Amino acid sequence: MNLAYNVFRSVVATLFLTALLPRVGYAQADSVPRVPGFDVNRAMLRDRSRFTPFVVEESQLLSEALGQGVVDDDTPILVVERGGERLALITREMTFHHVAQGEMAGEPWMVSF
Amino acid sequence: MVCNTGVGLTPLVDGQVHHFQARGLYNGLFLMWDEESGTYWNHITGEALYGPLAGTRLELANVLHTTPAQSLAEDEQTRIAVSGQSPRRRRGGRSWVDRVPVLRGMFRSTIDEEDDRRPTMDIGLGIWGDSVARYYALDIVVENDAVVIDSFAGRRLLVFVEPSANVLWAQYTSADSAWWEGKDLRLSNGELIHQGVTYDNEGERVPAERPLQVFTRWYGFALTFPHTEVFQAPENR
Repeated sequence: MNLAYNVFRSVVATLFLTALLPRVGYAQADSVPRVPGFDVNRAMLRDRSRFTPFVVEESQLLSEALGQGVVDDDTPILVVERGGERLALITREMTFHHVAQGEMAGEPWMVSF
Repeated sequence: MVCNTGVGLTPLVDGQVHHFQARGLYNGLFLMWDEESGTYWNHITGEALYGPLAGTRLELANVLHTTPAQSLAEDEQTRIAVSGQSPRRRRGGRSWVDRVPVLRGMFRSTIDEEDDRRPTMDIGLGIWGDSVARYYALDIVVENDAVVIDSFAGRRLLVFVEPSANVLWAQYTSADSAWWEGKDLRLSNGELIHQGVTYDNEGERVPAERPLQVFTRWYGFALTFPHTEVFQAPENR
């Protein structure tokens, strides 16, 4: 069963990558720099992202957002700190974006999720 | 993401801000891609894996899983950025800890061989330093009265379930034991952790010093840090 699954998985991955590689401009994938151990044949490299990154240009006090019902006391959030300032991101929104970035206290920051 | 791994990074390469997005999968984890160079990056270690900047690393920082109530107890000036975008419109809902997702075939097809010391979707806290990584399974910490004092990189480390968010946090400590007083954690050095904030025995706040950590699924941490240690409860050591 495991052998059959592994063979099926390899075939699907190979077909997928064969179709995808030319579109991402890596037809000569062997010449692309990579770190040792990175197996490009296992990677899914998309030609475009299905996910829109969250470019953070504005924010509000968390206490105000709580008062306005934007979030609840127990809403899962992710908190990043820069230069003594703290910024919260809503975890469920990050499952949509996967990447958020902006500037805080004059310093660039990014969160991946 | 299915791996549940939130990481803070500084998007600077040679002093220039690069702009990132999720674009690809490897080892069941999404890959970041930057517009400026077209390089694919590991989103946990911040290492450029494939493309012109391969080998470059972004600076890392902790991102804590928490709640508004806890974050405001830590700092009333905490701000929030809201995009209004979400794959699930329902507010609240079950925490990540309570969900038991399955790693779908698309993710598995990017994995060579899993580390079976823990179940694939087991959730826990992964911590790492220059030369060592260690994984604390949530179940094991919970079975240990939700608090563990361990040593890491030559320092004493407190790992506990933060009650408001029901997630694991780790911070360095000088205490050699800890116990719960309701939802507060009392440490043998006189400190008290209340709503995630550490106070000394005179009630003054003590800044928490934390190792790099991610509240994550086992498969992603083990594939990112193949030589990771797995914390064992004292009676199993």
